[in-house]
Amino acid sequence: MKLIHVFVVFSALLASLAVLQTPTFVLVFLAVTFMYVGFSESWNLVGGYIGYLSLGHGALFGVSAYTVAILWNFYKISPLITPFIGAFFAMLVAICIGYPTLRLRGYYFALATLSLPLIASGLVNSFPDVTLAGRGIPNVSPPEIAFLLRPNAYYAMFLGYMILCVLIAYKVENSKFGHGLMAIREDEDAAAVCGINATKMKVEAFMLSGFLTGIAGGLFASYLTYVSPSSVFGILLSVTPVLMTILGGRGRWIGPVIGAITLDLLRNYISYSVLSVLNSLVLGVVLIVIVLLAPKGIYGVITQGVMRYVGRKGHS
Amino acid sequence: MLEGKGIVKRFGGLVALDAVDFTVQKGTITGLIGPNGSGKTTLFNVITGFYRLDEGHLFFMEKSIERKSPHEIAKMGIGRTFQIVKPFLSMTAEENVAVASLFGREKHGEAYRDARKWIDFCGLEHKRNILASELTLVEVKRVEMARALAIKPELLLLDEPLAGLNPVEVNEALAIIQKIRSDLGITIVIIEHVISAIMRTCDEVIVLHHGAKIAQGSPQEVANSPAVMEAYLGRAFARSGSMNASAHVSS
Repeated sequence: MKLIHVFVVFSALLASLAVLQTPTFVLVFLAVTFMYVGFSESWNLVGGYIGYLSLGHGALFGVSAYTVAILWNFYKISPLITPFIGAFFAMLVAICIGYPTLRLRGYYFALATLSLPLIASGLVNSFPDVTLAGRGIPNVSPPEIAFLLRPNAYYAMFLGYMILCVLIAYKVENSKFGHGLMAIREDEDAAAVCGINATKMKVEAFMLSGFLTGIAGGLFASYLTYVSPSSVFGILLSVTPVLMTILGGRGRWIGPVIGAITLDLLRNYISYSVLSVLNSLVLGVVLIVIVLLAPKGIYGVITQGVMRYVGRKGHS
Repeated sequence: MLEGKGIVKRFGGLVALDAVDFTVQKGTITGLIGPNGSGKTTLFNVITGFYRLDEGHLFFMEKSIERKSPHEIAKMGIGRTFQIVKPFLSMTAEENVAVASLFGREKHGEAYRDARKWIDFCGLEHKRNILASELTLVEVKRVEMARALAIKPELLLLDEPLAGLNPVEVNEALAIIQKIRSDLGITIVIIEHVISAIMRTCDEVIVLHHGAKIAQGSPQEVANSPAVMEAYLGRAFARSGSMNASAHVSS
């Protein structure tokens, strides 16, 4: 039995929580965790498989969130449909920024993407008629879903979103496309010599990543019923999927799953039981510890441990 | 098969390739030699599209290739290895080659089966599942050769395949290179400093010096050419007579 089968079976079991009488706080907590798993998995397509450290995925997330909010506010189009329109716009933005920036290597790409949420935030503030600027857009809520059913409905939607993202990452990892992305990560010149069109593949991966990130953004806007520049274009939202993926192990589909669940549990535990102001401090400490002690993340530590154990058994 | 006409490549004020004309015949092994900094690797980089040439024309199988990018050149059938090796470090030997099988020119069944064939061809059957980061330099060079073969090239450019190898390994590598030509019918161009190996293996030798071609011909012709002796040994030495240049250079 492969890990991906375990994941699918486990997700199917989780789906039953939506129809059972599950306490609301459990549903709400899990829904947000699922969103982060999917969001991190989207980031992993660029940051993990091609190894391009994007620090601006919040911009893609926010473009879609604002699309959903504006379409509801002005045209009354249901936020249940618009996440896909938002995702489409996020994908267009990904093409526009990916085409020039993906030619940059290493730190330069990270710096270029870091500026994206700042630019997006500036744009939002310059069109207050449409975006209500810093105040944000309130009341973004699908009328089809009754108030009482909201936790269950969003739980199911985010669960579906997570499964979609994980299955796509799994598919990519075991495909020709994925092999190309990983070859580009290892050495772009050598990849070109093998017949890989690196620029084209990088932009394609960024497009896919942008689309999947956009779905999360669109769903999140109607889940929170509110979008503002600080909620989607803040640095924290852009850095979270980076942290989660690196914590779990980047360049593997399982990495973001492990990382997002671990980090979300950790920071909720700290918020509720210790002191909420320590939250971002803990994120910082986690990042430093991981980078120093386990650059391949939790999954890397586990596989190394297993290999050492198997090796020892083999010798004795 | 490969033809260059008046190739010029400049880096700022430095002329790295100065109006180089050359031809490579189909089915031959051609050696590309010259002192350090004479433009050998630059010529490879121009042929494979990593550098744009400033003047001149390049034809591969009667088609112009001077405006193509590296991946297009690979798809047209020119494979290469690198002087400073560039393996996919976190992949196994087999995965390295499988990437080339997947993205190369024609499909021959399953990529990993194809990759194993080339790994074995290059004598690495015991190293298939070892990470490239754990292989020795000699093995990585073999992986690069297997990877270049996996795109099913018509022409193979090898950039110093023998550098850093001991005499036994040199002989093994030369055997593989000869097998590539005889069994697979692939035309080969080799950049090499081990002159004795070039003399034994090549049908034709091209000599570059300060970016200009100073000789092209059979190994014997080139070894006896005064211009070549001058480039390698200096003017005084070259004038002193008809010694065999290869013996001096390789010692």
